[in-house]
Amino acid sequence: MNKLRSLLYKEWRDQRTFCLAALAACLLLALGALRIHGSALIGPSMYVDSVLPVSCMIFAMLLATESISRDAQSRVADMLLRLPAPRTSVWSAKLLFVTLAVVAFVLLLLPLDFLLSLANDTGGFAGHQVLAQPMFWSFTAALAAAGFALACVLRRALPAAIVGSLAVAALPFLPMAMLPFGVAAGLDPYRVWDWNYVYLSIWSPQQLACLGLAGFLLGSLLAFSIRHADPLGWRRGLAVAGSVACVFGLASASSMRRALSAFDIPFGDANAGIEQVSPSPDGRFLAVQMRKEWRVNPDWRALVGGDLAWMAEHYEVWLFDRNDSSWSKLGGTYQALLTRFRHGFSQGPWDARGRLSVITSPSAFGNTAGGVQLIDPKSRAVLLAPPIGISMFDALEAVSGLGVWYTTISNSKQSLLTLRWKDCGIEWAIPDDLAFAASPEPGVVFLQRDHQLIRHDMRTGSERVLRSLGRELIRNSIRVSPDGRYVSIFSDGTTTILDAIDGHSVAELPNRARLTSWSDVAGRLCLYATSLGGRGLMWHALDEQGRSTALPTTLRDCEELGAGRLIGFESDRIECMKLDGSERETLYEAKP
Amino acid sequence: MTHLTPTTNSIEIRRLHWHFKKKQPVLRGVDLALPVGSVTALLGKNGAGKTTLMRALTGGLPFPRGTVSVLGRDPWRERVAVLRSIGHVADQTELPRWMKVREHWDLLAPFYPGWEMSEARRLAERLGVDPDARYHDLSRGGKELACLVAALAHKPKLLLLDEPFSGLDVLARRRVFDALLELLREDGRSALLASHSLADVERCADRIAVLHEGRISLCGEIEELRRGATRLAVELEGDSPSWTPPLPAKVERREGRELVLYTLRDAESLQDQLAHDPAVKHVEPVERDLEDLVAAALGEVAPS
Repeated sequence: MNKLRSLLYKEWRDQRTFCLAALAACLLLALGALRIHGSALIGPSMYVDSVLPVSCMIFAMLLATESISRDAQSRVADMLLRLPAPRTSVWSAKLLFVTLAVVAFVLLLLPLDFLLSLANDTGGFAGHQVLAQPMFWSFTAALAAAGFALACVLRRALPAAIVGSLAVAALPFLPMAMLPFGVAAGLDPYRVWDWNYVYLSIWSPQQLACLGLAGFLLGSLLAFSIRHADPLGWRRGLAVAGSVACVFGLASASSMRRALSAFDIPFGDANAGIEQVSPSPDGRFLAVQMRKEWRVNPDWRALVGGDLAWMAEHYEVWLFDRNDSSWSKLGGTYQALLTRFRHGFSQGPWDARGRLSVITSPSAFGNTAGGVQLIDPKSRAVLLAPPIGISMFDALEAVSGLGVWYTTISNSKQSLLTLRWKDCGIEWAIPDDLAFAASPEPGVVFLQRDHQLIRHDMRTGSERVLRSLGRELIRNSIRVSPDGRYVSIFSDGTTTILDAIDGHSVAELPNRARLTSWSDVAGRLCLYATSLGGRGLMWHALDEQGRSTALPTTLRDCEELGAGRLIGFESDRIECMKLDGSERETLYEAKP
Repeated sequence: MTHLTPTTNSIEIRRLHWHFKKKQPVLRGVDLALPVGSVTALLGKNGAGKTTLMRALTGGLPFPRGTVSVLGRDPWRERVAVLRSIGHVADQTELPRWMKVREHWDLLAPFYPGWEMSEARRLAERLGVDPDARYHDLSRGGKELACLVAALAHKPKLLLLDEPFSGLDVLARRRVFDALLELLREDGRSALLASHSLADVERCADRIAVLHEGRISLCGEIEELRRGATRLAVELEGDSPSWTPPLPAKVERREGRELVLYTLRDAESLQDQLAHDPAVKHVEPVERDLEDLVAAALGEVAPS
C-alpha cells in the first residue's frame, strides 16, 4: 500500500499543474457559459451535454499520455522500472492515478454541472431508457477502426489496414446485433440516429474537421513518441486510432447524445408550443401535443446543399392526469396525436374505451418510417402497434376500429376518386375536385352538385337534395358530425348546420364564425369561435335548439371537458374552468 | 536453475547468451563469478555488452541460454527479490525536476524492506549530500553521490555500478571514489563496476573481468594477472625475419633485430626458454601495467 501511495504521490506531483490548469479552464468555460446564457451562443444545457463530457475525456486522454510520455522522454521511467516491484505495478499506478484524477475532475465539476442545470431548469420528466450505449460504442469503435486503418495505410502496413477496414465495415452492424438484447432488457428500441442530428448539432463541419485533425495530430505525436520496435505499425496505428476516436468520436457522440435524448422537450420549455389538447372521454386525462422547432446549422446546409431543410419539427405527447395533477410524457422519440379529418370525417385521438392513438417515429423528427400506437393512458403501455409502414388510414382502423367504412383509390389520369365500401365491395367514382364528405353511417356520402347539397346512398344509389346552394362549395367545406346526424356547410363566410336526413336548417353561425369542433355533450351541438380583433377569440357553445352560450375564455383554442367544464389553451398555457368562468386554474404554463 | 551458495559468489554467470536479433549476438557464452566481498571491474569496448550484462543481472533481460545467479537467485524469475538485495547505480539516473533528495528517499523507502532513513541521513552527511537539495539542481558529481546514497541506504549485499562516474571531473571523481571505497570496505560488500577508466579500476577494484566479443576474455585478481602477464624486450643475434617467438608469446612490436613480446601467462618459463634460444642475443622483462593486460585481453596490441 505504501508503495502504491508513494507512486501515486509522485504522479500527483508530476501532473498537479496540468490537473489544476485543466480544472481552471473548465471552470472558466462554465463561467463563460453562464455569462452568455441567453445570447444563443452556448446555453448551459449545451455546456452540460457537450462541453463537460468532451472536456473530461480530453483531460483523461492528455493526462494518460502526459503521464507516460513525460517519464519516458525524461528517462524517469528507467528509474521507476528499476524499483524492486513488478513492472505492471508501475504502469498500474499510473493508470490508477489517471482514473482517480478523472473521477476527481468529474466530481469537482458535478456541482457546477448541477448549478448549470438549475440555471437552465430542464427538469420535469425522467429520461428515457434507450439503446444509447451500443450505438455510441459502435460509432466510436468504427471511428477508431477508421483511424487505425488510415494510420496503417500511411505506414504501409497492409495487413493491419485490412483488419481496420474490415472492422469499419463490420462495426455498424453491432447495434443491430445488440438490439434484441436491449429490447429484451426493457429498453426503448424506438430511437434511431439520422443525419439530421449532425446538422442540428452544436458542432459545425469546420469544428468537427478541426477536432478530427487535432485528434489525428495528437495521435501522430503519441505514435511517434513510441520508442519500441513497431515494424508493422500496429502500435502507432492503435495510438492514432485511439486519439481520433477520443476526440472526433466524442464530438460526434455529443450529437448522438442529443439525438437520443437532448431533443426531448423539457417541461415548461418556452421554445416549445402547445399544438393540441384533447381530453379523454371520461375527462380524467388531457393529451397534449407539444411542438418544437429546431434550426439547422447553416454551415451544414452550405456543405450538404440546398435540399437540406432549414428547420426540423419535433413533436411529443404529454399526458396530464387530473386525478393527481401529474404530468408525464409518452415514450418514444417523436409522437403526435392521431387525429383524422378527411372527407369531412373527423375523429379525435381517443377511442370510446379511453385509449389514445398516437403516431410515433423512431427518429426525433419523424422522418424515418413511423407507425401508429394505441396507448393505455393509465400505464402508458403500448397496447397495440401495427406494423410500421402501413398507411395511417389502415393503422387507424387497426388500432381503434373507428369505423371508417371506405377506402379511396385515386386515379389522377382521369381525375377521379373512387370510394370503395370495404364491407360491400361497392365502388363509386366521383371527380376528385368535388366537395364531398363521408358520413360515419356506412354508404352515406354528402356532396355538392349543380349548386345543390346532395345526400347519396351507395347501397341503393339513391340521392336526395338537402339544400340549394347559391354558389359552389370549395373542398373541405362540408363536415359531418361524429354521430352522422348533422352536416355543416361553409359558404360566403357563413357556416350553416343542417339535419343530415332531411336537410332542414338547425342553426346558422354568425358571419365569419368558425366551427371548431362538434360536441360530445348531449344536447350540445358544437363549439365555435368569433374573432375579437387583436384581442383573441370569443368562444360559444351552440345547442341543438340553435341557442348560443358565451364561454369564459379568449384563448386560441377551446375544448369541452365534460358537460360542465372547459379547457382553454394557446401556445404556452392551458387553463381549465367551469362554464361560468369559476374555478379557473392554470394547468400548464411555459416558463419565461 | 539451481541456486548457488551466495557465500561463495555474489554473482555467478554460466554460458550466458543474449542477442538483439538472431544475427546480432551480444553475449555469446559469458562465464563470470564474482566472489563475495570482492570489487570487480567489468571492462570492455563500447558496445561490448557491459550494460546488457548489467541489465541481465538486474532482471531487465530474459536470456535464451545460460544461467545467471545474483546472491543465489535468478534475477529474471525473482527480479523483485534480487533488486531488493542489491544497490544499483546506473550510468545516468534521472528524477523528476521537482524531486528533492529526501523525496527520492521517500519514494524508494517503501520498496526496500531494509531501508533505514537514519542510514540514508548518515551516508548523506558523510558524502556531503544535502537532503533538501533539489536533485535537478545538483551538479553531476552531487547527483552521483545522491544516487550512491540511495543505492546504499538499504544496506545491499551487492552493489552494481554501471559506468557511474564517467562524467565527473577529477576532484569529484576522487571524492566519490574515496567515499565509495571506504563504504565498501567497511561493510564487506561485493561490487561490480562497469567502467572504461583504468585509473578508476586500479583505484577501487581488486579484480577485473574483460568482456570481448561476447565472452569474458580475461578474469582474475589484478595483482595476480599482473604477475602472470609479461612484456619482454628481445634482441636477436642477427637479422632473422623468419624468427617467431614460442607460444604463448606474441609479437607486439618489431624494429630490425629488436622485438617486444608479450604474454599473459607462463612468463617465467617463456623468459627461460628465450634465454636458451640461440637466435636470441638478449632478453629482459619490461614494465607491466593494467592497460597492457586489458589491451591484450581485447585482442589489441598495447601501445608502446
